[in-house]
Amino acid sequence: MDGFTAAAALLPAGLARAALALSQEDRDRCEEFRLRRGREMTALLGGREYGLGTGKVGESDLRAVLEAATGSSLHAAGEQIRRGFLSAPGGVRVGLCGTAVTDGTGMTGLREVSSLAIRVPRAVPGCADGIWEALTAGGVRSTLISSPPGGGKTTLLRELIRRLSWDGYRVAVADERGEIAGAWNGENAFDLGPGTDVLTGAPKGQAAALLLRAMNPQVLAMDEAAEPGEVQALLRAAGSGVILLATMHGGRGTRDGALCRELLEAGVFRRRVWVELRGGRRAYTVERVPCA
Amino acid sequence: MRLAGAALLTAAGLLAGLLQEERLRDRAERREELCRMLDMMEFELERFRTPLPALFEKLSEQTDGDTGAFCGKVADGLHKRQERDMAGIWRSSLQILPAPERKLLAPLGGVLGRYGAEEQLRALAACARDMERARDEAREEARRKGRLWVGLSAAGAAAAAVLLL
Repeated sequence: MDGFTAAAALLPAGLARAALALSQEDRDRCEEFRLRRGREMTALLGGREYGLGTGKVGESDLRAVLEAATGSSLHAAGEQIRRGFLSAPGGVRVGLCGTAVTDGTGMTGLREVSSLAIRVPRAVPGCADGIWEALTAGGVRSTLISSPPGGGKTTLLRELIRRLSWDGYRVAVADERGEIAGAWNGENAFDLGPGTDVLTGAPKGQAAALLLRAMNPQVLAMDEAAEPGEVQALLRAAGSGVILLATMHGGRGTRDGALCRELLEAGVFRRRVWVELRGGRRAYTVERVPCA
Repeated sequence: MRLAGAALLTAAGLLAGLLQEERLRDRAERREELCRMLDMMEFELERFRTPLPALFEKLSEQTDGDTGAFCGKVADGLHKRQERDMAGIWRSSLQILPAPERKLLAPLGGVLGRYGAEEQLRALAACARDMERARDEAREEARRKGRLWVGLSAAGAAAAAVLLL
């Protein structure tokens, strides 16, 4: 089952019919389905949302998606709900939004779900072909992949992991949401190569430290480093001599966030790949990061 | 010849009464087993948040008779996923059970697996209360009407036998 079909399979029958009515071309570029209570369902195609002509999404539709994503076990997905997403079969991720329940320590869950983002997982073998030479000239170096949210960072990261793994590197992946490997019920939906070890479900900072200790990697990969703990883990890993592959939100021409600047100023990364959407297609630009 | 016929008639009457008593007892036992199933579901959901496929697999092994078969069918449905949702799986699995028990359990299908643990536990508690009431009624009916059926059937058959003689 491809990523699009796996994502559509989570939808209740009426909405699934609308999704499956998309042309093959639209299916290929569909990134997400968006369900907002009281609004028609939309599909994110080439960076823009388009209505699919469905009726208004109701609570029962949202409930049906949650049920399908959790294998009829919403009550068992508490930890994922606290983190704001659900891992579903086929590598699909469902982002959750609604009324948060909090306690003294922070968010503990969601009381009412008002919108869902069903992300279509996609492996694009060969998507790094055009930049591979620039990335590996003079040897593989630590690389930061940047784009705004939903820009395609994870897809490129997945492909870089796969290629390095097939090139003989031992790659360890801190995959908190199971999104890179498409992990669900112990199985990976995506090929990450023969020399790749994936730690799923653990917070990325802890996972990175554990992988360094336990798996002796040559390359350590982490998606969406956004917390101080994760940045500290990357700094420690860089000090241990492994090659880092990481993604962070960021837009070309905009000021980098404080955590990103900290990593760049520390000289952790030697290459930076910008992922941009041009004419509905993804374009990659490789930059050398000057030595600190 | 007549004597043998009369004896057979009496025995048949007694047997019919015993069968009716057995039917009433079976109904009470089935409801007792369903109460046990609901109790185990509450325990597992409250303590361990057990995912439904694993829960029903466990229940199918730990409950007997119709209840075990029902749980097995739900577990099978959850694994095969021919129905789109739990409500559909629940509805089709309930066909194993007699109509009164089906009616008592039906509302759970719209809640299980689809809502959070608290909502599911509330629905389970309400269903368990109804099922316990139905079990108590069935027990009482089996106790009262069971003897009555045996007595009446035996007496009726004996009267017919006397007439035959």
